Amino acid sequence: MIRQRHLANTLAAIVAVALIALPASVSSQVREVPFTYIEQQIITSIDPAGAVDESSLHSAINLYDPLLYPNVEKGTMEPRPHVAESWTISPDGKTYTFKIRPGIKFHTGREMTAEDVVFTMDRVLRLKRGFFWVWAPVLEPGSTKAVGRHTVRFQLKEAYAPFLGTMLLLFIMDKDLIMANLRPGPFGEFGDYGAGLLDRQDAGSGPYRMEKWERATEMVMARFDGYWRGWKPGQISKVFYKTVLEEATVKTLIIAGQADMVNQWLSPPSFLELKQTPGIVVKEDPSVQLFHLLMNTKKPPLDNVKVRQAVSYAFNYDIAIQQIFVGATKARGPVPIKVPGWNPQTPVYGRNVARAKQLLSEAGFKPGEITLEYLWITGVPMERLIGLLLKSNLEEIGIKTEIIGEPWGRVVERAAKAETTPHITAIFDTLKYPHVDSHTYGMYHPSCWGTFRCMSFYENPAVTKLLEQARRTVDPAAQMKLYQEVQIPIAKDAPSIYIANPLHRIAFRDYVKGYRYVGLLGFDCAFYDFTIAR
Amino acid sequence: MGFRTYVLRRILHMIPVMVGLSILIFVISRVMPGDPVRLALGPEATIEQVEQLRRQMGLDKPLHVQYLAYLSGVFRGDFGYSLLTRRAVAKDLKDFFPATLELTTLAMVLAILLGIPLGVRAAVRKDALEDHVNRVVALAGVALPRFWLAILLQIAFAYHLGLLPTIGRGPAPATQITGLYLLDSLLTLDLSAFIVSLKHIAMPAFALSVGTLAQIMRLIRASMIEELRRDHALAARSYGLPSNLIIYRYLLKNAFTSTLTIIGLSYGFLLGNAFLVERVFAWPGLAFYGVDTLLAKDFNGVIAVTLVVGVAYAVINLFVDILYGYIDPRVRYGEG
Repeated sequence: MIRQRHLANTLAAIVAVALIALPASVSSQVREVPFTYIEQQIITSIDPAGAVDESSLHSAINLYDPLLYPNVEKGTMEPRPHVAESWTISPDGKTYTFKIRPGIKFHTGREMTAEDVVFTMDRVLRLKRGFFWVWAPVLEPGSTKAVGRHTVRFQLKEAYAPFLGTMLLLFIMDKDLIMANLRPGPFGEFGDYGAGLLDRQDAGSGPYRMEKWERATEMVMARFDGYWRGWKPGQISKVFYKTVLEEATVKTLIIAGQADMVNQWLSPPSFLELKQTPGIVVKEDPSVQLFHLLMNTKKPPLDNVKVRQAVSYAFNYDIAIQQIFVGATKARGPVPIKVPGWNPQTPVYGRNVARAKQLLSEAGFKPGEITLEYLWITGVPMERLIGLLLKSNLEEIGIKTEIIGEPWGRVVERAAKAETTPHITAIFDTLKYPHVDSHTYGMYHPSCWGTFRCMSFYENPAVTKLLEQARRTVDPAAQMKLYQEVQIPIAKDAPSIYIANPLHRIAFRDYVKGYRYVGLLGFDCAFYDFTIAR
Repeated sequence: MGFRTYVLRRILHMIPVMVGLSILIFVISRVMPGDPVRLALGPEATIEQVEQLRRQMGLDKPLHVQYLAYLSGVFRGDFGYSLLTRRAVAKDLKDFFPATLELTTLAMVLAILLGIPLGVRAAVRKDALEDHVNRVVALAGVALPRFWLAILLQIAFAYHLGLLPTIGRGPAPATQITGLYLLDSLLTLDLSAFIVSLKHIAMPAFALSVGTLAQIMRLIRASMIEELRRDHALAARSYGLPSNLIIYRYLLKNAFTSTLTIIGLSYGFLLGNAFLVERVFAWPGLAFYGVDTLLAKDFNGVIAVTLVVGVAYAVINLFVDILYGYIDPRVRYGEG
């Protein structure tokens, strides 16, 4: 009897303890904060070495850590410490030494070291994919060395002004994980270089780890508890990254509250509709994109600068901005105005039909003698509208225009040679890496000929010399001065009709806090920065 | 010629058809404008890199050598490497084909289950209000674009009523056997997974089925009107047989042969043309993948999708031909 009572008392005590302990254990659990993001592009790969489009960059930014990070807190794309907590640059600008922050853990639990940075850079250079072309001019496999457990050194062939900025695009990978999972492949001792592994899991240290990936429809990313920057209440713990191509469906999802944020690729009328919907915020920022019409300077009659200038004066910029690129800023030269290093003194062409006619006459052409081919990318209807506007404007000065639409693949193919490149091509060109070099050297140095960015085949020995000098200059102030200086002769030579710096728009529910746009593709959707305040 | 010989002969007939199709699509994919290698490597790729990948993929070899190499790969289940998804095309097919097969099959089942009774009703009540309504609905079903109907369904059932999910296939059942979620959840007796999958597929399947449903309904109506006028129908009625027996047992069987042809053709057509519905509902299917590969000029993907759809088309129509024999006793394989 006594034993029974004793047993009952013991059980009662256990139940009581359990009841007291239960709420405590529940409250100690982190509250799940789910977040649904809709993107209209599929994630083709989670290998950061191949990430160049927005959706692939989103996966890289959230699953991995770049060596440096844009200074989003200050609203700029200038690099700030991240994985590297400090760095030094040699006086000749050829040696960059970075100190890696100790204690950063990969998702496997292993600590990141300088060896991982070396492995990552060599891998990109050997794979020759993604942003490798940014580093290829100054680095090769073996140029990066670990000079201590947490110190890494890049030995450049020559001084390279944009180098520090490009470290924002170097997403560090777990060397041991990849090496332990190699399969046969075309890279010798490195086999497939981890391609098979990266088909099913990430190899990063970022705030989220990949939980599920169904190609073409959804990626689920769950927070990595061991993330070195720690976690605060309200931060997103699980991201449902969904791919939906149809614009009407994307709108339905956010209006119905089934999505928290939708991407930038909706049309302006859709953003206008969302703007008028209660509970939805449409954030608009001037983008670092340039919309311009590249003129092939190697193809007569556009090899004559006066004809190019005449075309630039004939175009009606006001109509383009007010009726086609609603909300955009008129472009002022090749560099988008939000990019550090843009020169406000860059000459700007405005509509002046009389001047256009005069220039055409000075160039020795009579009305009706010139016919130009205008190429637009099918699937971007805005470019066709711009073509129609250009055609009507050029008719006023006696130039005929043939408007031709081609798919992107064909445009890239035609860009390979000056002979196959049309007279004028419409291109949206965003900043490729966070440096003014992208929209100067990257577009107007002859080394880029053959790519879509350089369909003007522009060549001016003085400009080429200035661009090379700017790239080799180590002092940031002197370097920036040269990049600003070069924008003036380029604009005067009119290799393009610089039309607009379009608006960047994105829509999200009003309880999403912490969104910041600094211009660099993909970095605005670093989900770690968001909090939910329902 | 017996039934077995007939089937065997039909299967053998499929071989030259598939070889012809593969040659045709192989050549077309190679002459399409746009350079797939340059596209895959990105606009910044150097000429040297483009050439290197071209060599790696065997694109520097003569066309017939490329074709034979491809064909021998196909027989080993190797459809080549996708420049779009950067992995084996066979893996892509394994991921995407079941979704489209499931969607198309359910759409066909809906079209048959709804189209036949509606067509019969319309014929039996010819020129009555019900007939007029059915005809207008059928006309609308044929004429309305599927993607537009899909968007309307989304707005009604997902947004306003909140009854069905807007997009996707839903979570995969815990145990996957065939890759067809409905079938897998039934096979594993996972009722909750079945309901979730059914909710996800309901709208896309219905949107996809409407055109075929309307076609079946119109055909059945027309054939049944003919059958109802025949002497044997009058004789059956005069014998006092129940009308449902006359209609569904005797007349419908006769009226069904022409519809069966349409069913076979539509199934194949839907497999390759489900793209717009898949796009609206973010359905991870083969048609969706096929269009993506076409846009990226990923020719290995394009050829594989075409071959898969071609084989499915041929197999379905073989089944249809076999079914003729069961439905129409005049068709005797032995008399061929």
